[in-house]
Amino acid sequence: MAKKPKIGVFKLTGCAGCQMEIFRMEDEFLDLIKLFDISYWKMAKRDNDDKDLDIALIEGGISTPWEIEEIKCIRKNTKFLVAFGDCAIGGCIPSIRNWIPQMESEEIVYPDPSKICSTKVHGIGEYVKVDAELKGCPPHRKTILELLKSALLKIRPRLRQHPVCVECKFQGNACLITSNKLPCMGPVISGGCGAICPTLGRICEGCFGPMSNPNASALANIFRDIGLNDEDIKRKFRKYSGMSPEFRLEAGH
Amino acid sequence: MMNEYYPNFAIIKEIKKETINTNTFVLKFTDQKIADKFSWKPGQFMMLSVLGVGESAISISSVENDNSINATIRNVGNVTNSIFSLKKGDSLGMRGPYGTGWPLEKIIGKDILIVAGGMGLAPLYGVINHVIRNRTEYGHLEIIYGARTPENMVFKDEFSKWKRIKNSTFFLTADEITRENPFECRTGLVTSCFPMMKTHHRNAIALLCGPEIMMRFAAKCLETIGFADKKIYLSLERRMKCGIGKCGHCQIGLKYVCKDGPVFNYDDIKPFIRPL
Amino acid sequence: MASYIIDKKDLKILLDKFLKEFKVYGPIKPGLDSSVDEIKSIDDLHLEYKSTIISPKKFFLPPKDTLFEFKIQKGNYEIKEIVNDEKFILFGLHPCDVNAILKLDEFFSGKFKDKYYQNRRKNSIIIALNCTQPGENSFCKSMNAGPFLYKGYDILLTDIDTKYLIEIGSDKGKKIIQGLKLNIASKNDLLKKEKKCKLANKKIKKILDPNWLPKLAEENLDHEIWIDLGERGGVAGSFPCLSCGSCSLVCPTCYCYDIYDTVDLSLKNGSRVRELDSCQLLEYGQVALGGNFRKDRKDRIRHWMFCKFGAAAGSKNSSCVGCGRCIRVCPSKIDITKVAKSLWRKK
Repeated sequence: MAKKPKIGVFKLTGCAGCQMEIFRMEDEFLDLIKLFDISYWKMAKRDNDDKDLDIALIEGGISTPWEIEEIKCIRKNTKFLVAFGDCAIGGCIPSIRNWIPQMESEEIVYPDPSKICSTKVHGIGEYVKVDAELKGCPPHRKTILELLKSALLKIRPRLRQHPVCVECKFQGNACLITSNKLPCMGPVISGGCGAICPTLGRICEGCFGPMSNPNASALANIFRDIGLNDEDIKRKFRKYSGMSPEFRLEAGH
Repeated sequence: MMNEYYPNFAIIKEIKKETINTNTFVLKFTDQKIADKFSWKPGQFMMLSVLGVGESAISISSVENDNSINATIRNVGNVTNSIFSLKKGDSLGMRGPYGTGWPLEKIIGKDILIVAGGMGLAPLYGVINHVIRNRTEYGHLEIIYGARTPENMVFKDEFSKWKRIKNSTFFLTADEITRENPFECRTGLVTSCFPMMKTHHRNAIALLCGPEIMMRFAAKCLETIGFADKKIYLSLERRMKCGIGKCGHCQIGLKYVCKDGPVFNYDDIKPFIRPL
Repeated sequence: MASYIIDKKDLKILLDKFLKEFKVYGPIKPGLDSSVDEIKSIDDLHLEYKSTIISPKKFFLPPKDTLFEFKIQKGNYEIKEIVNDEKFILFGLHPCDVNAILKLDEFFSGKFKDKYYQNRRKNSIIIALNCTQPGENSFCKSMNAGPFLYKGYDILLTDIDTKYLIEIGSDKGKKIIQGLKLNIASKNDLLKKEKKCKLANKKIKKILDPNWLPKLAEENLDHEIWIDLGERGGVAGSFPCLSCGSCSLVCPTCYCYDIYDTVDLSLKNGSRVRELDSCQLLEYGQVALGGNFRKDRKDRIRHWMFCKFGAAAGSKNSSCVGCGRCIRVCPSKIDITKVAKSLWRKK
């Protein structure tokens, strides 16, 4: 049998939820350990080796100068670098602090901000080349598996970025925008979640980030039409992916 | 009822290297009955699949006496990449042939102008062979083949033979020549060869295949030198999933590329291949 | 063939007979956002529904459908057939949806037959229900697909006040009501149907001339309406297109699908799956090396509308049946009839 691919799982600025999602793959977890050599994963093991990785899953965005150095170092040691979850892709929820001055946000959290040295929160793509993105907050187990299987087959993973609407229609749901006049983010947000929220009657919050080629301005206008004010709309687009180029204008850049 | 979606299986008899990322695979159906029944026309394509990875439309460049199929493939995507990892003797899924092919019967007695770019020579390779075999049935044969560099050209082994075809002219041109130039390629686009062309539009049919942008310009140039739209045929590429006119991906205007094409008369699809 | 009548309160007898032999699917909710799902008793059935979110094409072309399963062993393949032989009844389909199925029938036959579709179709029995309450978005009359049905049904019901008129359309239909004591319809009952038909026709407010639709598709490739629709302010009171794909996914005649392989972690067992696709999505036109034949949103929405106007499957006739689902579901309020009219006017 060929050598097992070496995997590293790293955490930068994020909540560790994406890593938890790997643990949640209860049915496949034991098989995965057999197929991959988990070389670096601080949350799961004591001895870690971050050299010569085949795949690195990076959770979290960049918010300090040290993290910039760290991600560059990981890039050097890795063949295939994956932005694992929204934080690594575009900063996600931590990036909502980018909308207020740096000092102000530090003062809110820390009693003595003089010891804090933080940067604006960005995805890792700002600093290094990223080979694949696993969208989601956290990514769906299915897409994680899809990526790992593709790595074994040495092919590009089939990670489609169609809108939530597609999966919502597969579920047979009525449209929350047209039928209930609710501000659902579905039409501009990448699917992959199976449209869980709309299926339960809740609007899409946007946790998978922008779909491919979204028409964000049109959706903002639709929200305005159903009664949202400009501040509401800004907040909606800022929440998960305010730093993404697709949502820039609507998020208030 | 036959299920058209099931791939039959074929064995790789031989792999010939064409360029750095292009190989010709010689494939034979493992089921002799299917192999015996196989008949084709130049310009048609096969659906090749590596189970677990997917399926891809690949044009047939030629077919040997024992009905082995020569498929010239460039390694560009998941399926082709997986095919490239296979070795002689390995098997893969294959179904077909599909599509219409070049109108070889309709053009008997005419002069033939072949304009090919890059991988676009693969579906036309069969036409050239057909004309060579039935030399008296056709008039003057003119081949204009262009590629990015001379190294990127496919079927290089045939060039010397093609240069000696009776009553024919053969132009090779490359966008740039960076290293050696063994075939005395000119530099420039395929259209830069048109002023030196022997073919006169009056009794000629033009067959085009290559990147869509190349075909668009070539067809436009041919128009300006007098070719009627009806006398130009081109072979198109589109995303294909089923190959049998059901999945909808390859639709262009009123036509399906897999079912009504890939070879089209320029007159029929002209409005749909311009940049919109 | 003879026509019968049944009292509305006796519909249970009819349904119970069907339930003994078949799986029955029908509208399970009233209103516009109904859905066709399994019916277990007469209480589940809501024949007064106006429209369903997803069209009944899902019974013949499911959103996700396994084509075959395979096993890879030492470089050899083994293919396992998937057989689905469930016989089922679709109860209460509206004429637009039946006409859509007839269009799909045509499409999935031809030189290459689609075994999966045809199998399901063969195993289905259609009990249609004439539409007496067409909604504000319906334009079936213009597309010659409603509100009343004249072909394609096994059994056809018409609501004539306290009773249903039952018409038989095929031997299949005749067979499934055999043994039931039904009263023969009187001349008066048939007259009532005529009256209902006229009334229903009058309720339809959206009118189009279908004759000029294919022409619109041919002549307006470069029209600025497509830029309005894709990028600028929309057309006739709509917002610009979101390219969310909802219109094509709910459309009863949109059949485009994607095919891909999945494997388990052993990489030995897997299946080839087809999944409903939409031409509105960027990935739809993508080929190797990042090429895309319909990169712009305007190209995609134009492609879809042309397909509905008449280009589908190389036909010269419109594949639209005027059910109005795409209008109802569009978050941007894009109305295909208004776009067609704007194109016609601006010629």
